[in-house]
Amino acid sequence: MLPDAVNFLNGINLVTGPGRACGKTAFAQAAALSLRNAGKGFAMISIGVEGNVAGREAARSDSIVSLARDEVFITASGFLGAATCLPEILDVLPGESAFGQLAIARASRRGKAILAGPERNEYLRWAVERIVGEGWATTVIVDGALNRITQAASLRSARLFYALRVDASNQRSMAGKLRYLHRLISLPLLGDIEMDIRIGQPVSRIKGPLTASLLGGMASDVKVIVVEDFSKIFLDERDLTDLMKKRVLAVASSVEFGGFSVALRSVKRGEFETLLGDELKNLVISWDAYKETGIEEMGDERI
Amino acid sequence: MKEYDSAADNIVCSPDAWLFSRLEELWAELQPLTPFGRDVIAKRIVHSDPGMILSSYDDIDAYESFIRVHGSDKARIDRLAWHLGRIPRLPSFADSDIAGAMDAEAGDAERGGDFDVVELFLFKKFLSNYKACHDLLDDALIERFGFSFVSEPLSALLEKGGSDSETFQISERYDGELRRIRSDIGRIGEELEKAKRALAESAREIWGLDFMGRDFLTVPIEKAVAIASESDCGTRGRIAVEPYDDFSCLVRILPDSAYLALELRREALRDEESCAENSIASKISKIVQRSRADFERYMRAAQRLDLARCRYLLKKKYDLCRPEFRGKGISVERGRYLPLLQDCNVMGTTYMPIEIDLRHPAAVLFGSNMGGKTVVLQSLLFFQIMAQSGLYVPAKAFSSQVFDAIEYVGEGAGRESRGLSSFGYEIHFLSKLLAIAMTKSCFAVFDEFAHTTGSEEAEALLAAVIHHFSGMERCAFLFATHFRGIERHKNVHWLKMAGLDINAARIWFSAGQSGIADASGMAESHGSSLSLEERIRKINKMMRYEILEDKGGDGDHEDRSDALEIASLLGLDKNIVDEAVSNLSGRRLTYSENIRGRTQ
Repeated sequence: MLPDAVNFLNGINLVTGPGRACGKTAFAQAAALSLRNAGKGFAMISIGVEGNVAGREAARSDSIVSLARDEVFITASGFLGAATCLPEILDVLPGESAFGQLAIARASRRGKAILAGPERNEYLRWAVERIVGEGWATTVIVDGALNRITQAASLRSARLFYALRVDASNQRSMAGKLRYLHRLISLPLLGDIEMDIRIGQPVSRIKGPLTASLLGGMASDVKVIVVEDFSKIFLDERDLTDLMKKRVLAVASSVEFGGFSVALRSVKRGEFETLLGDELKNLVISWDAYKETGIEEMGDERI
Repeated sequence: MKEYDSAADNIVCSPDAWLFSRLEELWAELQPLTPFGRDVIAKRIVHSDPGMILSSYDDIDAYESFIRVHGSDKARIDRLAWHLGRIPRLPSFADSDIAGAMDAEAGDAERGGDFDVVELFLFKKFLSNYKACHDLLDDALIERFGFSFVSEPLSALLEKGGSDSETFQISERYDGELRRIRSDIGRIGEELEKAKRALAESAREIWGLDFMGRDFLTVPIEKAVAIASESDCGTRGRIAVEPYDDFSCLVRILPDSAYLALELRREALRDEESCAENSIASKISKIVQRSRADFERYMRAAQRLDLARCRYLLKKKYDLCRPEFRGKGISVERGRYLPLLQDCNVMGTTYMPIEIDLRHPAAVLFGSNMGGKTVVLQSLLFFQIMAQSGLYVPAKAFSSQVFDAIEYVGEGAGRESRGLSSFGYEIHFLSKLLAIAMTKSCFAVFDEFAHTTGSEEAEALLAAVIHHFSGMERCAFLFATHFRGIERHKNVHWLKMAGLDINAARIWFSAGQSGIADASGMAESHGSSLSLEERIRKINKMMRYEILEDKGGDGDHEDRSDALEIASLLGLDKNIVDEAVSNLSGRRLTYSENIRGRTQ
């Protein structure tokens, strides 16, 4: 069913996911619908056009969104003619896109528009700050780029949502991805463990990405590693596990995690929940956002 | 930075001179608010036209006068900066003309030179903020910067499009026909919503499907099959069904004929709306195009105000002075070389301001290692480039002339001259500079010219070059060198850095040998393990960064460079230093004895 609007209200909500067709755009649109049904205004932003795929054909599909009056969005000047929501231009973003200048717009009536957003993190941040700063919207939904949790760190006080589509062939690897992400978002804050660090204990503060090669060159007596935030960790699951066995890994600042969205295809919810375990399954805020209400599955039992 | 070509008239300062001066570090503090101001600052323009430079100074003064009168009204000053910062870059008129010509060729003459909605928004936002700035300025500044505003009618026209002073759309307020079309679209939209709600309600009542605004749902296969079999008849809620996965199907509401008719009617109206919007945009565009000259004037005025503001802020922050331009020569009173001043602050060392008065075309500066010769060259370049960039200068007083070319020859220069040795590059560049100096006024600094060649030949060459330059009255050439055997000519300043305070050094070394604390309370010997920063601080304390007239060997230890003392202060092995001193003097004196001998 639709995710609860409370999950998104009054904040910057960044939706990302592990690859193409992972369901992030469907989840972002479900979040928007949920807010609209609750009578709450919002701004909707995408990264590039349909997850970075350029081309007018691509722009005709997932990038088209329905908007109600006063909802805010970002589009390109080349798409304004096709918008039926009577956009009012609020501001223009720095730089150009393949489809002309990007503009922040507000729908003056119910209708449709093609989303086209900034691909550079600094422009995304600029746009979000303008939207919130000018009071055009207090809730922002960003249909983020694929595999780019770094965007969460570049947007101040963003909530991260992670969407994925699970089918029979990938359910184990997807469960692994959720577990990995969960480990990253659960890393302790430096401020919370500072008292536990012994005086004189070597602490390595990493500016920028933490990679396997960087780790390999690190002195063995370093027992505490601090990265800026979890999006700076570029280790595979095995390297991360090894590291966390031998050392304490902490983050200097945390990124708020909003929850997982899971869209199941030919997989029973109960099966996947078993793979996830109790702690992880409780972090899923949306199971099949487009499933008929009233037939939610709980394990194999149907209500 | 632009590629340097000394033959090009528009480039005054070479990239080498710019880098060597370390002006870039200060340049980053110039923070214009408009895109036009940022364009100028990004170009790092150094002028050779005195009129441009003086105009820039007068702009700074005018802005300062404005602040003096209105500065107490902080809200006014803040609002001015706020509106200035919101002035956007305008779409290119030229591009529009080209687009117009292309459209005309394509047979769409009506569309020629039209701006799209986003571009019209930018004109509106520009005018709104420009006018707000205009209203906050006083008459003196409006006149000084040409900050007039004559676009009330266009402003009012653009004001109609959008819900506030900056936002824009092709509003129905522009045209009665557009109002009617939009009203019809609105009415049909309401009917469609009503019809959609009715269809959704029907789907819920008949099939128990609650779409909640969603375009589709997934339902269990059994239910989907039941819906499909009954929905096909068309008598009950029409639902499209298609397979989704092993357990469910995807269902969506199919519109009925009444709904489709409304949709088609709305599409037709949208086409009409689009035509009406294009027609209005075209009319507004033509009015904007006719105001092109006004916009160009506004951009220039905003740029000037913006540059004056950011240059004034720099002046205020660093207490800069207005340079004076006289016929020839360079004179600095208590000049502060800001990059070094900041380094000194970080290192906790003392910075000594520069005093220099150069009236002759050529000057030669001798001095100790680490005695500040290079800093003098950097400082003079820094002040001169600042002055010719339209900036005030960090000094109590600075007077100079406007040069056509500003150059630097020394370490790191001529990186692009691959295939040439240091000496090769110096000679190549010297030849080039001689040619430039025949027709242009040049300011060039030479750091250790010819230092990579044998001292005898280097001194002969240097003397000849200095002699040649001493006759070029419109130019200024400053050489920092260790070569003291240069033949001395007239029309040249012979200068030296005061160098190491030998008495202070003596006390320190004596204290080090006897273990007695020195003046600063430190009891370390010169061989002890001080950090490099501590040693630099120590040298800095003992060094007198003062420019003196060099009388040519008739003064106190005129020809020394303090190299061995500095080497020792920097921590070089005591035995090596002692042997070097011994080699120098021809007898085996210890280093300390040598120091004592020199100072007694």
